[in-house]
Amino acid sequence: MPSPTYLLIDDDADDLEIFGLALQDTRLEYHFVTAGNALEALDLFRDAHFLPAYIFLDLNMPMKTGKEFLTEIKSSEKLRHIPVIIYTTSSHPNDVGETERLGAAHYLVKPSSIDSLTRILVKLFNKQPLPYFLTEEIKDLVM
Amino acid sequence: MSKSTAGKNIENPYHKMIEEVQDYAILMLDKDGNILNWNLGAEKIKGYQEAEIIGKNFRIFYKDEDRANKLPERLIAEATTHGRAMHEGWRVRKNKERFWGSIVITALHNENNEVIGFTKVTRDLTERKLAEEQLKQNTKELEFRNRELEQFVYIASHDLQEPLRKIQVFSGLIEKNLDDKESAARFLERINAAAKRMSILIKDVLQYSKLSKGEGLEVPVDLNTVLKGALEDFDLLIEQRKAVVNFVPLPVIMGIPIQLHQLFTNLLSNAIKFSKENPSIEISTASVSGQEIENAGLSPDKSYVKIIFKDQGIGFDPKYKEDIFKFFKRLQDIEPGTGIGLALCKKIVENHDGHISVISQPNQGTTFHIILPTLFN
Repeated sequence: MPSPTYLLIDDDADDLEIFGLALQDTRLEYHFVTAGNALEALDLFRDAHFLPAYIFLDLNMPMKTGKEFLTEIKSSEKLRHIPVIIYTTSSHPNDVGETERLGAAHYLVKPSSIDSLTRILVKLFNKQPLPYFLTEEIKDLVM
Repeated sequence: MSKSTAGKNIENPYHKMIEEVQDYAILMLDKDGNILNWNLGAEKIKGYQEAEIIGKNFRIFYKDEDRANKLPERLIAEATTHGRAMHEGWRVRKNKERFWGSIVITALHNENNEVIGFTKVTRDLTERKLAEEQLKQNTKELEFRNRELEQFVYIASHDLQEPLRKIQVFSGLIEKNLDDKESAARFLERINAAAKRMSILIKDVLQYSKLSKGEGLEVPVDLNTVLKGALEDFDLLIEQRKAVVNFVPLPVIMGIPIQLHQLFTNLLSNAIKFSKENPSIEISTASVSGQEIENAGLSPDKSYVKIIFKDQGIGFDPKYKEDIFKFFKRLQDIEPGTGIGLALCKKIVENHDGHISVISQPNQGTTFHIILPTLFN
């Protein structure tokens, strides 16, 4: 089986790098693809063979917001089954509730250490049962 | 006063009672509204002596515009038809001062049920009215502060978290890579950048929260001088970007000079920043219609002027026309601003009892409409 592709959509260069480092630390096999904004990501999907296993999506981006992108993905017959994980700094309750209604799989608050992010990603990729709202403050997530 | 003493000392105690009531103006009008008698309350509330007012028409107590709209005549007509008319509104004292009057006009009939005149009772409710208006004003102010607080909560939960989180992540990485000097130096650089951004954000938030409504600080401000100052601030940038700024003579308004300077510099810098080449900016003025005043939710008692900042820049999707005035809302990622400029503009305009709005289309430029009260209010 070919290794899975993970797509991260984020306009923040630091966060693209941080996420890449956390993925490396999982010691799993994967392809990591990044897009600097939602329009770039939509361009990637023009290639019919591009089907990531997970999409990690920042909310606060110029041009097209994460919520708008999420709505589009969920209305596409072909792409709606790809789990979308919101990946953002905001832990505002409005954003958490709204994205769940829009069909996101999880809401991951950007952690303050690479190790926490790596641990959460490993659990996610191993398909362990996880709550919708994921933060490093939930103890059993980062153990 | 007991009935027995009244009976002894005063021939017409009922008449006397009316005459001496101080808290109500109680008068009789003939069927055309001419004043037939006067009491102490009327003198106190309206300011006229009995001798100078008897025989005058009660229209004299009404404001010019109410007289033009025939309000007194309509009240008389209503009392004639329905037996009674009630009204509350601003009335005019002899010394031209206004008072908030609550009035009841009651028709008087003869044996044949014909109207022969009216009684008119007026209470002065100015203090209550002013207290109500103060309360309304306070509520509005409170709602405004509340919205601001919500924005601050959002900032705290998002924008201020972001640089802090990066500092934590990168210092964790340095800890792991202590032996790798090259990586450590790179991560330290990121930490410094994040700390710097944090510091700018905090300064901006403080600057915003310090922008207070300058009660008593308002002076007549010549907007031509303000514009000149703002253009001087940018002369280097204007030269570099080969920007053209055209403007018409601007009015003088009541305002806080430093805030208006900030308003103009923010709008100018936006127009230059969000233009691709040779920015072209037009500043003009226009009159403001009653409908616009109502739509903007401004007080209808004032007169206004509109100042228009129009650029030929990159524009934006009109669905963001409310969002761009919020804190840290950056639509374009082309420059490192903190996204506070237009939030400042909005607060400044609101401090001046005005209204700011924007019209834009991608690649078709952006136009800001700033409505401000004129000097003569």
